[in-house]
Formats: sequence, C-alpha cells, structure tokens
Amino acid sequence: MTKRDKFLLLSSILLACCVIVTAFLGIKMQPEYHKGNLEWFPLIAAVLIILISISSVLLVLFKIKKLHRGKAEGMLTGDYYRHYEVIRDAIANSQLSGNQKKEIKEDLLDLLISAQRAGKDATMVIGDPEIFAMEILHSFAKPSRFAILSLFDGMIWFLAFIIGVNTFLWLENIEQYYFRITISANMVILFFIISFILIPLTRKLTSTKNPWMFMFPLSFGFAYVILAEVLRRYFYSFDSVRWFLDGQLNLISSREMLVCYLFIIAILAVSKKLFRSKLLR
Amino acid sequence: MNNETQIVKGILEGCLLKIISKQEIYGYKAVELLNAAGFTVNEATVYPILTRLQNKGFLKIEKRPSPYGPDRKYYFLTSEGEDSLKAFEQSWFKINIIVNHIMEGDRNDQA
Repeated sequence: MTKRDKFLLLSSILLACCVIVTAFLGIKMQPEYHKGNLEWFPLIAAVLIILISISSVLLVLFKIKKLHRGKAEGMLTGDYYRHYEVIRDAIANSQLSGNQKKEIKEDLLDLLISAQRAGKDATMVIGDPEIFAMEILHSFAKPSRFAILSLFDGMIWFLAFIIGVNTFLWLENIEQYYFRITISANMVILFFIISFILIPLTRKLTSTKNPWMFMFPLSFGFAYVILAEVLRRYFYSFDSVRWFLDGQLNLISSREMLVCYLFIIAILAVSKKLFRSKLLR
Repeated sequence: MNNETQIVKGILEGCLLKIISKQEIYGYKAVELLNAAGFTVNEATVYPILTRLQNKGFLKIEKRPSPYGPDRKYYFLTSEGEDSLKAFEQSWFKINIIVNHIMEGDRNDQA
C-alpha cells in the first residue's frame, strides 16, 4: 500500500467515524415531537447510515487492493507506480467520459510498462505527473470547457441534496406535510458550497501529488461547524448571522415545484451528456 | 508555456503525422522514432500530442494485443490527417525558406 493509499484509507475511516458519531448523537438528541409517529425511522436511518459508512471504508479498501492486484498496474514499480497513480487519479476525477478514461488508462499503462522495461528513468519519462495529467486533459479541451461541465454537476448535486434532505426530514416525521418542510439556511448554504466548490475542488486537489489533500473535505466540514459556533457565540446580534444560524427555508413548497426540480435534474443530466460529447473531443 | 515549447509542439504534430503516414506505430514507438530522428522528447510530451491529433480526427486507431499489459493502440492517418500533413509540409517548406533567408541575411550582415 503506497503512502497515497494510506491517506485515502485514513480519510475514509475518519469520515466514516464522524458520520457514525453524528448518527448516534442524532438518535440521542431526537426531539420529542418525532417520537409519536414512525418512531422506528430514526433508528433504522441511523443503522443504515452506520452500515453505509462502514461499507464505504470497505469499498475504499477493496478498490485499493483491486488496483494493486490489477495485472498491468502490478507491473509498474517504484517511481513508475507513484507517478502513475497521480495521473490515474487526475484522469479518474476529470469530466471525461468513462470510455475516454479507460482508453487513457490503457494507453498510459502500455506507455509506462514499455518505458520501464526499456530501463528508462521514471522521472525522465513522465516529468511532473501533475503537468502530464493536465496536458492529457488539455488535449481534449480547454479548462473552461471542463468548468462548464462541472457547473452542470454542481447544479445536479445541489438539487439532489435539497430533494434528499427534504425527503429525509419528512420521513423523520411522516405526519408533516411534505411541502411545508423547511431546511435551515446554513444547511442550504453548506449544500451550495459542497456542490459548487467543495466537490470540484476536492476532485482537483486529489489529483495532486500531495496525499494530505484527501483530508480536505473532512477539514472543511470541521471548519464549517467551528465557524457556525464562533458566529453563534460572538456575532449573534447581527441579523444576517441569526438568519444564517436559525433561518428556515421552504424550498419545495408544492407538488409542481418538486416535479420542476426532478425535471431540471433530468434536463441537466441529458444536457451534460450532450455537451460533453460536443465539448470534449 | 514559452514560445519555443509551442513552436516545437506544432512541429512535433507535423512530424508525427509524417511518421505515422509511413508506418503503423504505437505511442512508445513514436517517442523512440522522434528521439532517433534527433528530437529530445519524452512520453509525457508525445502522448498528449497523439491524443490531440486523434481528437481532431487526424488519426484513427486500432487496438491489438500487446506482449505486456493491456491492448496496444496503433495509430493510422485518416483522410483529414493526410490533408493536414500536406498543409503542414507546404507551410513548413515555406517557413523554412523564409527563416533560412532571414538567418543567412543576418549572418551576411555580421560578416
């Protein structure tokens, strides 16, 4: 297991631990009004969340093992493998299609295995792996085109978060009217940041050589919680801070709006596919 | 990226088209042939150029089993690639004459 793999595994374990602890706290601090109906739901949800968290760690471990077990990858050694995994991650986290990623991976393996067998120095062959990965991506399109595709992803993620959380809150207390459920303003802002900044940035950072970057999402989560607590303690007198901390937003206020959200997600997904085939060639 | 790198990349595109027009090659072989011709290039320089040429529709590919690792990609020129090679050759000969003329003129002035 390389240093990069260890960091990846560690970050997934830490993230899973945080989610599990939060799920436990969620059950303990469950408000009284939730206990009347569908009492079982929070418990089932917590068990599901815990199982998903544990599975995510096992999935990461399985992926790491599988990558190392791969016949072709296994042929690369030392610096060749270290450089290869930086390029592989950059391509895997890019906006290229599945087929394009697969093709590049096969090309790279053929190229690097041939160079390694010829006894060439890995650094002479690859140079800087981050630059090599960037050059490969630029051979498909300019960075601005990748940014457009990320924007599609951001919008899809954001709408999916809103629908997902609205549904989850409704399941917590099924007697509530679905279209009157409110989500706190700080959660909506968090979803916005995750969708439009955190996910694209994490994708970009995990394709750099520095393995500490795998810790970025977790660090961001902690920073956001600390920020909220600092604001509550020292700046609560400001209206905007009070709105951020305690404000509630009803984002799905009617059946038509829900249909509209779902319709927009479908349109965005199809448009992204069409745009990708036009933009990345 | 400096001008020299940009110029070399443009020239390498033309040279790769020429090499591929003469024989079927795969990525690693292309690097070997360019270096044998006198360039000093590595795999990280050549592979993105091959991908760009393929994406522009100048190259078509064929996958064949490789003695090591995954299938190997062999490159061939398309008709657009042939046209692009002709255009490159014409521009190159023209530029070559102009640049030589200017350089030789400069040398004569110095003498």
